[in-house]
Amino acid sequence: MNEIELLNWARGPGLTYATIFMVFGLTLRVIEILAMGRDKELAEVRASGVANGWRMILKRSIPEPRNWKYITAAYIWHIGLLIVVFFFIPHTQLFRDVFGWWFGGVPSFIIDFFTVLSIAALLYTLVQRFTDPARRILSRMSDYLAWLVTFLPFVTGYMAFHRLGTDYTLMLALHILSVELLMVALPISKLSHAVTFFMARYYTGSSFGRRGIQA
Amino acid sequence: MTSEKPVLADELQRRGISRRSFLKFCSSIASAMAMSPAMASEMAEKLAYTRRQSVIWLSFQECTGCTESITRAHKPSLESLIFDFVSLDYHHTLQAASGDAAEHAREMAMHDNGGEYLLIVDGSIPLKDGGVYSTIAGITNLEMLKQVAADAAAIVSVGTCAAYGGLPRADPNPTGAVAVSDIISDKPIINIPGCPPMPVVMTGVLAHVLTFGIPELDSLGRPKAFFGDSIHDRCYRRPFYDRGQFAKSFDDEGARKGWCLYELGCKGPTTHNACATLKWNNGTSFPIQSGHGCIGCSEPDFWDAGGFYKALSTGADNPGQWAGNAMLAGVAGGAAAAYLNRGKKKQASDAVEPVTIDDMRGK
Amino acid sequence: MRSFDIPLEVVDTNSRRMAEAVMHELATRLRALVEREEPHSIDLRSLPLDPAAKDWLREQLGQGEVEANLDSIGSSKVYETGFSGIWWVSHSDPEERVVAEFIEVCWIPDILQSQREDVKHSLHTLENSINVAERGDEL
Repeated sequence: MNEIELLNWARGPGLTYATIFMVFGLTLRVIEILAMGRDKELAEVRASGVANGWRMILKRSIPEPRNWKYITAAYIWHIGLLIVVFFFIPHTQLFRDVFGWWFGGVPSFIIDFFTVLSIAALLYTLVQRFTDPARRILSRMSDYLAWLVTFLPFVTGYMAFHRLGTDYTLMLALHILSVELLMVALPISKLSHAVTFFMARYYTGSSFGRRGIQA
Repeated sequence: MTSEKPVLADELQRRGISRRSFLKFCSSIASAMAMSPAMASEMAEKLAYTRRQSVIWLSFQECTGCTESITRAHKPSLESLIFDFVSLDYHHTLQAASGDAAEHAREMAMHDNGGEYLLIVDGSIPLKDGGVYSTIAGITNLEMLKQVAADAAAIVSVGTCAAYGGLPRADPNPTGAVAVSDIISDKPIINIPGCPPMPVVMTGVLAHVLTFGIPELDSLGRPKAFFGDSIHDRCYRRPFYDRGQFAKSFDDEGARKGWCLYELGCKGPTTHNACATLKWNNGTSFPIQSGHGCIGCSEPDFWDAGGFYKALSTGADNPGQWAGNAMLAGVAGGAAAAYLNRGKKKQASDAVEPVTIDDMRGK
Repeated sequence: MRSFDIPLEVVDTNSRRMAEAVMHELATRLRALVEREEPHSIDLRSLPLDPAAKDWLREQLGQGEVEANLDSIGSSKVYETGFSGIWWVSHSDPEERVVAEFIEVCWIPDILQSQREDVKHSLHTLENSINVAERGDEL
């Protein structure tokens, strides 16, 4: 298979299969979690948990002062991810094609800036995971793989845009394939938090609220 | 046999074309091939002393666009001279003879120039149903290709059909079309793709083959001199791409300012050809300059690359079409998973044994 | 709106810097010619110059004392620029379209010189025509 055939496969059947699997997998996860329901509340309910649930979703987004270096790095690359994925003009073409409408794009030099920042931040978090003794003990292979699967699209995308590495056609194919790998990994790893994080926070907040604890 | 043939220099003289004119021609060919200008006189020297080269041109499953492209000469030019000199022993569109006489002429040329003739092929070769979908004089293309290739010195696949299968090979490929290189593997093959290929590219490659032999080829068998760069690498609109200034529709504000055509489906970044530097119609223009994105016609499978007007970053097969069904399947799957989970939960709670104070005291 | 009513906008594409770089290269090559008798030819097609940048380059180099027009399978124009030793060579096809353009740093461009084969052929032809004329006189 030559590089243009690989690219056509990645853009064609590859993307279709990855999309099917990702939508199927994430939906299954969400339904599974919702259908599990919650444990029977045996204590007396002191207040409604609803407002607290919603509040918790936002409150947990505010970083704490301890551990600030790691949290800052994580924030940097999460924000970078959102900007680069959803506002780089070639990406907006893809979303517009799939959804019929999308936001406007952002000048490419801004995307470039955030990509480099995100790559640096991701490398920092990896080093931290490896050197900090507590994190090292807690980390499993699935954590490192999740990191890799997130890191690859940034690097391959940057290399492709700047015509680094090998022939552009092959680099673009690798970038698209790395994204498909991420899409497939999303439902079957901790990366599903992208979709489930708000449910987890709501759950915690509402159970606190019912016990009368402010979020 | 070959030593009796005249050299090109004699032919030039016979036609009253000065060596100076010939040097000018070689300068422009060398320039087109991005060779150093100093090579022009070396090329002129070598080319002048080549003997008539026998060429057999086989046209298979094609639209004749490649032949049209190569014969584009409004007035007699040195390009057409080179082609006249390159003894075109067989070309069933251009030759005067037809039928059995023509096939006989081909066989004679093959016999007389055994091991030395150049085989040029345009059009793909259909394989389905014994190759009946394209035949010449009752012989299938497959059979004729194998016969003629057997004693050829080298093969030039002209056009994307001969080089990679082209249009006939596009989904669903009803005739089972394949490229020349899918059938012949024991002869040097030069691919000159394009739909059609650029005339100056064909001339340049032929001139190179006659003087310096087979040029350096890339991984898809294309001469690097013409196919080494992508359109994107040499596009004059590149600064707009780098700045992120794109035309959103044909003839809008951005289009009129000459902005990049990425959003309008331009395949320039993944297409290798010389259109951006050498341009078409003797250097007049090329698709992007005229406001239309590159369709990638010198790459394999360009017909199945998702559509000429969809950006390179979009999915080629409409990836979202199954999302609705996938979601429904996910709901069903989620419900099934939840059912199994409840079963496990119940099992776990059933297995719980209550502990009393006495149990803890060990009674 | 008709197509020729669409207002044209000249957009800056930074190739003027490339043209300036060519001037630097010409200085280097001219020195090589003077000090080491090394001629050089720059193929303008190999450089990403837009029409504006090329015009600027032409203007900078100016026009010198010598200009030659060739009529050989289309016309060609060769002229020495305002800088001695720097020549501008432009080849056109029979339809007056430019097919190759070079800036040559040399004592005289090759294309202007008489070519050896042509001279040999001319010698042969000239001697023949003299013989015929003489024989004609005798008769």
